[in-house]
Parts: sequence; structure tokens; C-alpha cells
Amino acid sequence: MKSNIKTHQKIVADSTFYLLFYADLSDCDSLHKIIMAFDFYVGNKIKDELKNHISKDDVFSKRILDVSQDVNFIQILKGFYQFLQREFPTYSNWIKDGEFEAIGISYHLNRMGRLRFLIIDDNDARRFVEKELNTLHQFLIRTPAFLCVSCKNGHFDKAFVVKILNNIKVSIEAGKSPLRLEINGWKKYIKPLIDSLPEENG
Amino acid sequence: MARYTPEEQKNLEYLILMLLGTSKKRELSLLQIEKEMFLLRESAMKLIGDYYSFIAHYRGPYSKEIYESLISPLYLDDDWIYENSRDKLSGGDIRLTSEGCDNFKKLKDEIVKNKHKELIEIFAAMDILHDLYDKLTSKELLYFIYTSPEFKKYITKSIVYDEVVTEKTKESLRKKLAGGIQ
Repeated sequence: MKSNIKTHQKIVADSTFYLLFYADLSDCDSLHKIIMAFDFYVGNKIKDELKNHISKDDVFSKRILDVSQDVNFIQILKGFYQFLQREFPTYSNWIKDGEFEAIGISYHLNRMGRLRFLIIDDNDARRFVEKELNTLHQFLIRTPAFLCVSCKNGHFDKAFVVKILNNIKVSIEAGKSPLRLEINGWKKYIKPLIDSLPEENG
Repeated sequence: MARYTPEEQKNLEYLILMLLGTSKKRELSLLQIEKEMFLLRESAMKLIGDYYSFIAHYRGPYSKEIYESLISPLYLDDDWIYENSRDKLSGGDIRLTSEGCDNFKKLKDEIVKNKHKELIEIFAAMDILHDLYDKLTSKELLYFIYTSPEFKKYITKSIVYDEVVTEKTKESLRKKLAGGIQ
């Protein structure tokens, strides 16, 4: 690690972020290192989407913060998205409840003045946030960019981040679709991110 | 409002203050307030379901308690003003006064300071509602309500359905919401 930065930055990620480490990279150690460096928040839907993995992961259970909500944020967001789908064929793809939940939790944390990032990789969910949810636009980030920003801010060293980003390529070459990327997407999006990381001193 | 206790009436007026205070312009049309409070109630029944209710009316879901509280508030009577409008759909505008802005700020600071979870959730829900619906015109907002199957029971008495649910409204919504989408 580059430093011993103690941070309480609040982060919300949908299940795709966690599944990258559990299913695509089989790299729980890296996930644990990341969730130890920030405060990650999840709700019941996200946990349900991850249940096969987190039931065996004590670090996740101890470290991740649960958010229970009395307001049904999923209903508000989904109601509007379903309207878009009914009326406009360009909104043909489905957004998972876990993604709506992550968005709702982000609004909640933002009201408390604590949100740092909303990590969403799914293009349809991102498009929904970018186009319709102006308040959250500034917090939206993809997993690879989140790792690179965290590296530049001193939370992780370069070698750690580059290893994960390169392993995404290895995973694609092995026939998986981490973060729903194909090899051209990796070359176009992730490779430039790796190249943008500054050399480390010493 | 006779069936409401003073406490419930006060809570409803504070909810209205919260909705107006969380809006960017500190101003909403009567129709926007009514429909956003309707959508809020639908998703937060457990927290605020008892404060106000809705029936089917001329412009979709209607709440007598909200209407009366907006026009003649009993407790926060200096916090907002009503401005009539020629637009028969919007029903006029409600704008926070400087006193209302001050009261909202005090309320917001107190809620965050005391980490009042339920009210912070209500704030967050209002932020979502503003992001989604404040940009819509009265006609577009009603189009959303009128074409949503879950709200069908609230449109049985509508007198503006044919004026609202048209290809023209759909086209203006398409430009606003689905425009630029590849």
C-alpha cells in the first residue's frame, strides 16, 4: 500500500462490482482490500443477487454496511423506468432491482452529505442515471475508473490496480464477460486507464 | 380537514415545506406538488400513509387535505404563497417565502444533525421525485400518471384525459426523455 490513509468515504456499488471479484476474477483478496479502504453500503436486493458468494465471505459480512429503508426507492425509480420502457422502444433493456436499490441508497447517503461514488458498470443503468437523475450524475463512476481514481488518490498502489485491470483481460480471454466487456472494450477503455496511471516514486 | 388531528395537519404542512424546499427553484405548481406527494405516499405508505389520502378526481389523483393545506395552511401560514395561473392544468404556483426558506433550512439542518433516518429517507425520495418529474410540463406529468397501469383507479373521473393522452404529448415526452438515446 502506498499509505495508511484512513478514510470514511461512502461508496455504493451494484452487484456487478462485487461479482467481478467473486465470479469473474476469483479474487476475494482484492475485493477485501478495497472494501477495507472505504465504507461500502448495500441493501437487501444487492445482497440477494450476491447471496451465493457472500454467504461464504466473513469479511464481506463484517465490513459491508447494511442499509434498510422504509421508503421504497425501487418503486419510485422502477415506476418511471417502466414508463420509459412502455412508451419508448429505445429503453428496451431491463435494469435490475439491485441497480435501482444502489441508486436509492446513493440518494439517501447524498442527503447525509456523505456519498463519494456510485459505482455502476451496466450501460442501461448508467444511461438512466446520466439522463434522468441529475443529482447523482457527479458521483457516477465505472469500476475501472474507480480503481484508477483510488490509485491516484493514494488508496491503492499502482501494481494492485494494474493487476486487477490486467486480470479483467485474462478473464475475457478465458471466455468470461467481466463488467460485460469484450476484448475490444478492454483495449478501448481499460488500456488507456492503465496508461494514465502515474509511475510510483521510490 | 376535521378528521385530522392538529399533529397530523402540522406534519402534512411540514411535508409540503420539505417538498418545496428540496426543489431547485423553491417553487412548484399545485399539480406538481399534488402528484409528487401522491407518488411519495405510494412509496412511503408506512411512514406517511396516514397523513393524507387520494381519491379519483377531475385531474387524476386528488387530495383534499393537500389542496387545503396549500391554499390555507393552518400552521405554516407565512411559509409559502399561492399564485393563481391561467393554466387550468397546473392549478397555479406555490412559492416558498423567505420565511419558508429559513424554516426549511432549520428543519433540514435539524434532521441531518439528529440523523433522523426516516425523514432523511423522505428527503432522498423527494430528491428523486424532483429529478424525475420537475422537468415535465403539467400535461407530460399527467400523461405519466394516466398511462401507468397501477394508477388506473385514480383516473376514472378525469375530465382532461383526452386532452392529455395524445400523440403530441407523447412526442414532447420523447424529445425530453428519450431524445439523443441511441
